[in-house]
Amino acid sequence: MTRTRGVLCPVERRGLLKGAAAIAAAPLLGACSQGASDGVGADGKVTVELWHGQVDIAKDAIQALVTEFNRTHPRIRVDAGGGGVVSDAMLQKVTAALAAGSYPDIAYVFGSDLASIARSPRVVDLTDAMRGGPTAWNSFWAPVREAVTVNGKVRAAPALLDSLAVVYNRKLFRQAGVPFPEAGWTWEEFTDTARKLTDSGRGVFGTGWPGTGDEDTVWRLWPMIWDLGGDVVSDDGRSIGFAGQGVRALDTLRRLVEDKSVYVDPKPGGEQMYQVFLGGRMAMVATGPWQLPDIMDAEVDYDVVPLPSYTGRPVTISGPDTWTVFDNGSARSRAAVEFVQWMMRPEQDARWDIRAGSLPLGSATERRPRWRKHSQETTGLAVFTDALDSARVRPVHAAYPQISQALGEAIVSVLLGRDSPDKALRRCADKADAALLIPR
Amino acid sequence: MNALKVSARGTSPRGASPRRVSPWHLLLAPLALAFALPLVWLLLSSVMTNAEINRFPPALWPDGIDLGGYRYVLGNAMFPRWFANSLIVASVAVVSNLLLGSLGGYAFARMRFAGSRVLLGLMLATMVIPFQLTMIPTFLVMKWLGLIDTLGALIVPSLVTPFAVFLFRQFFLTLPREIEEAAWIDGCSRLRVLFSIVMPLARPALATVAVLTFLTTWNDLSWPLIAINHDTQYTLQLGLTTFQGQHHARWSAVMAGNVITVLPVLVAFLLAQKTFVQSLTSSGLKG
Repeated sequence: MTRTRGVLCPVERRGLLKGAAAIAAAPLLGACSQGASDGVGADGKVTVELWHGQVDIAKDAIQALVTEFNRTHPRIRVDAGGGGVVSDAMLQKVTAALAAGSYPDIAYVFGSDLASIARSPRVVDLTDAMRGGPTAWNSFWAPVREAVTVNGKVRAAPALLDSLAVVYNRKLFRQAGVPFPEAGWTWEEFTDTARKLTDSGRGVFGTGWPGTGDEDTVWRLWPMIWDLGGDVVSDDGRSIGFAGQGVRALDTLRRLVEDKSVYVDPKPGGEQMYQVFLGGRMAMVATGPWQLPDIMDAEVDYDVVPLPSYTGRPVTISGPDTWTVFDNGSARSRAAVEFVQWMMRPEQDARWDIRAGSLPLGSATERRPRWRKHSQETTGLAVFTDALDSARVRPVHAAYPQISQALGEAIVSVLLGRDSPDKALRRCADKADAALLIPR
Repeated sequence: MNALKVSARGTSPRGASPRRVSPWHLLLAPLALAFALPLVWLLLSSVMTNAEINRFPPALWPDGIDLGGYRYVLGNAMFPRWFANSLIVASVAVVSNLLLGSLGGYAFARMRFAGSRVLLGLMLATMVIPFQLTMIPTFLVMKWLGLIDTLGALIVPSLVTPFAVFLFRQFFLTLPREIEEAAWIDGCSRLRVLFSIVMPLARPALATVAVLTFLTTWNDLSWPLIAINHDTQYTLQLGLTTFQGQHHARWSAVMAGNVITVLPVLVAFLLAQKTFVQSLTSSGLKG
């Protein structure tokens, strides 16, 4: 028996090569259908790609604003495709896009992620555009200005603002015979109140705290640390700035755990915790204005009070999100800047805030009749807005994600009763300090 | 050459007595139920209201049948398109993996050429490289091909996988060469032997590759997340993420969407179940 193993006859080889060529050509044909464009069409219209990452009501609000902008700005067309990503995954997508050199003109980037993104030379410096823009820079709240400033330069435009306060269920307070909390209350009063309102027999918790270790777990602790004089990073930038203050803040959590008055939410985003509150089984929850529509829909008899503090001084945290602009050539950059400036104007900002459940970016928006009316109709909204006077923001620091992760683990270990506050924070400090030593 | 009786049938011939209960069933039945529980919970949650899903303590049984989640999902104008996109991507990937994977597998199993072992080793080595590492180079290639934000970007990287080639190779190695030799003596070409003689015997391997490729491409989220920018090009998995916002999630819609998404996967598995199990337990040969 003779045969030529492994050798194809000429006809077969030709056939195979034809098939391979056809497969290889298919993507190239697709390539032909897309020309490399600098965003300026033959008619002189500039196309700007916007990755907003919004869903549901917020997406509709953005779409409506984009449609209006496109109608009133005939030389610019904003393509609000969304970016194929929700805002929670925007950092991942934008990072990949920057690495691959194929990025949008504008992306909705969380304030806590801005430092990571701003290291890219593709991020447009908006210092002049913001400080000399159509809306006075000083009319924006201080946390807004801080959140978009990196090393003295404005690296993004403010997009959305919120703050934390305590929403409480008045009915549960009345049933327990506990007086309503008032501004100026302390964390000790908070823990005592939570204990009094906890009723394990009826499945009622005093309060709740996200237990996933993510940013939602962490950012609630910063106001406690700031109030005690601590900071995220020490003055010399070489270590964390909350070694002692962090222990005390964690000790407050430990008390809540010992009293069995805190519901630790295992779901990301605090979804379960808020549902427990909406179901009338949680007396107090620290949250932002975004939660008010759901609370009203659930017909909870509620009110809002500022966050407690240790010193009696008002302090809260604000987590502004940003419109980050990327350089895809001067024409597109200019058009992108024009769009974000338009979005920041009080009339647009008010519409966006009302639909998205956020706060006005500045005093100019807050004075608008539309916002005033909305604020009067929404119980407790003014408390969130007023809290902006004492709000601080997380530093725009490249090591923040590592610090946050380390603190998140510490918080969870205390919430689950695995570690003492002291031990948990020591471990956090080791990890976070190591991250701070990395040159960036 | 020995006369060989080739069978692609299972080990339970028709007319066999019904299976008797064995003590193993006492262990396996609860275990199977435990594995099925998440699916049962998914199905039950899909007919609950948002309030029921988020109730504390959790509701294990719906108060009634609420189809709000399904209405919301199916009422989304883009949902049929997302479904079609997923179907296109998964189907093309399955067909191309069966075709190209079998060709590659057969070459590695039956042909000796310079560097074939090294090439096989290199190809297998790519299986241990995490996707995160190849994501950017893949993105760059797709960008160069002009496929970013098209279904092509999801299809091309999945046209053939080392896993498919390797699985086919391993299966082909279990087949006796004598069958192919007889066909060559009868004048068949390599490709004719592969498609007329070998492939019919390779049904278990075909089913395995088809099911696993379908599962992988159908359920993939991370690559579409990077490669797709517009909702007209979303796959189902990407579309489902839009039911979960930063602060709010429509869980009933998420659950209903997942039920609809998981149905084709279940159907695909059930259709190929018999041959899939065979591929794991037998070589398809009786001597």
